[in-house]
Amino acid sequence: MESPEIISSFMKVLEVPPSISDEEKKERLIQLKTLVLHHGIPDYTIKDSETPLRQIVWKCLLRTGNGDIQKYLSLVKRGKSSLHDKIKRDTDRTFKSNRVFEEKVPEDKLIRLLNAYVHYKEENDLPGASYVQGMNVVAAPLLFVLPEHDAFFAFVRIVTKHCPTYFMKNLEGVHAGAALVDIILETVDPELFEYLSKHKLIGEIWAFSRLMTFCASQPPLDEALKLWDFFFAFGEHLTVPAVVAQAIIVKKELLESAVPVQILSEQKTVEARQTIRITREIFRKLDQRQQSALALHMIDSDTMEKLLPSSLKKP
Amino acid sequence: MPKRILKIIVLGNASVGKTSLMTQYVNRKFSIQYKATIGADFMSTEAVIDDDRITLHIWDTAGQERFQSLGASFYRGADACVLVYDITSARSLTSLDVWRDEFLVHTGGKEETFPFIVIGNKCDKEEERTVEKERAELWCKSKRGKPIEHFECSAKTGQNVHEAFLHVTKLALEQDTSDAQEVFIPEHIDVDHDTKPDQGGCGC
Repeated sequence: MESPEIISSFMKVLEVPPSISDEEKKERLIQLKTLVLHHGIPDYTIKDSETPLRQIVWKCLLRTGNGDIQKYLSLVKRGKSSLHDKIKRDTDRTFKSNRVFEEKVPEDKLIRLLNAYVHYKEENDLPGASYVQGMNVVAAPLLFVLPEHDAFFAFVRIVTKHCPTYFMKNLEGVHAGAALVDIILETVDPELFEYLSKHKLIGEIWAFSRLMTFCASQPPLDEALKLWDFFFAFGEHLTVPAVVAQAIIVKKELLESAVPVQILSEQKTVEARQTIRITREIFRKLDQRQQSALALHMIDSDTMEKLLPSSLKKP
Repeated sequence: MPKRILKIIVLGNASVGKTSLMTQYVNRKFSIQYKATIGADFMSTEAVIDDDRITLHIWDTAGQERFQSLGASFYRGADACVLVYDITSARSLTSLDVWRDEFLVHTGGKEETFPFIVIGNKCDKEEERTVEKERAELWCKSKRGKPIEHFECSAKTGQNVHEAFLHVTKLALEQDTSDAQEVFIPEHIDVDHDTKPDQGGCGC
């Protein structure tokens, strides 16, 4: 049971009076983020509208407003996109074995959203990849929490505005993120870094899917959602230190294992609150240069390219 | 005798069942995957061959062309490669050429001798078959060197999976010994070999 005080603090911040200055709006957003940081988002459904609190908070944080439902419908009307077959190959294996998810998000929703995205991209001539494997795992939690059209606009925002380098054709940004995982791990836990290096376990090998999906590739979904609360409040780039935190949490097992990659690929539940706590500690240990590379690598192609291993750099 | 570790890489198009084959071999059961592979997946197991215990590190990768940029670090030190197609998808068989080339480029393995096997997965779906066994065997014979061994398997029922992995492990072991004999180079030559000129380079 969630504490009623916390819930009412959330409600107070979210109840926006009709006349509110921009200044005040900003102030409220900061209050909202602070609440998310300290308490996470309580598992609570607002009685009158039967809307889960997380849905409202995500819409605020992602600034989807009230997504243009007509726009989304017009994209859906266009039916299968050029990448429909590719999409279909992944949608029927998204969060499989999670019955709650499958009940709430039938495969069709996921197929519609991703096809609509391909249409949207073609229509607006946007740079970057159309559909790539892994986008299904990014869209799925959005559909789990938000109404379909809001999920669509949230998805577009994340993929094209928040983390465009991650969804370039060759996923360069993810590779840069993986390089940052190594840099950060070496800074905050040289012992673990050296041990993993000795086993040839660089970020690219073990952290790739976690990075690309903002940790949603690791079950259970409930814990991933709590991480997303934090990422949406303070930036998806915090996925990188969060992934490092997840490795540090299992450090003992890693050091004891002859095959440490096995520990990292096991889909073991890592508690979100603990991950967030350690993520913040890690962030504080980074110098300014590292912090800025972290903050920029998802949006700025120069920063991103400097991090790439030489084999992936443009000739 | 030091414990032997072999690195085996499983390649093939998206959704041909690479991860499922690997899971079936290691856990001896079919499990529904939580999601499609992103980047790379890994499993480890032991095999006993002629009373020797061999540790197998089996890797598979996302079957999408874009992820092939997951390059050197993923392929490095590979001892054998399992190429997988789906018997219900003709395209997945023809793609094996690309996967095999890509693999050889990254590892620098010799085309004629590097241990490959081919698995035609999903043979439990006989009624949906579009790739005849003969056709796949023809592909296997069309490569330079010895014909590549071909197995039709089902990750779902487990049919033939164990046999296929056992076979590729044996191939990797044989290769290991023949390599050891072949590459007997005095140390000082090796040192020369190591000083590659292409270090540094500008990062701009």
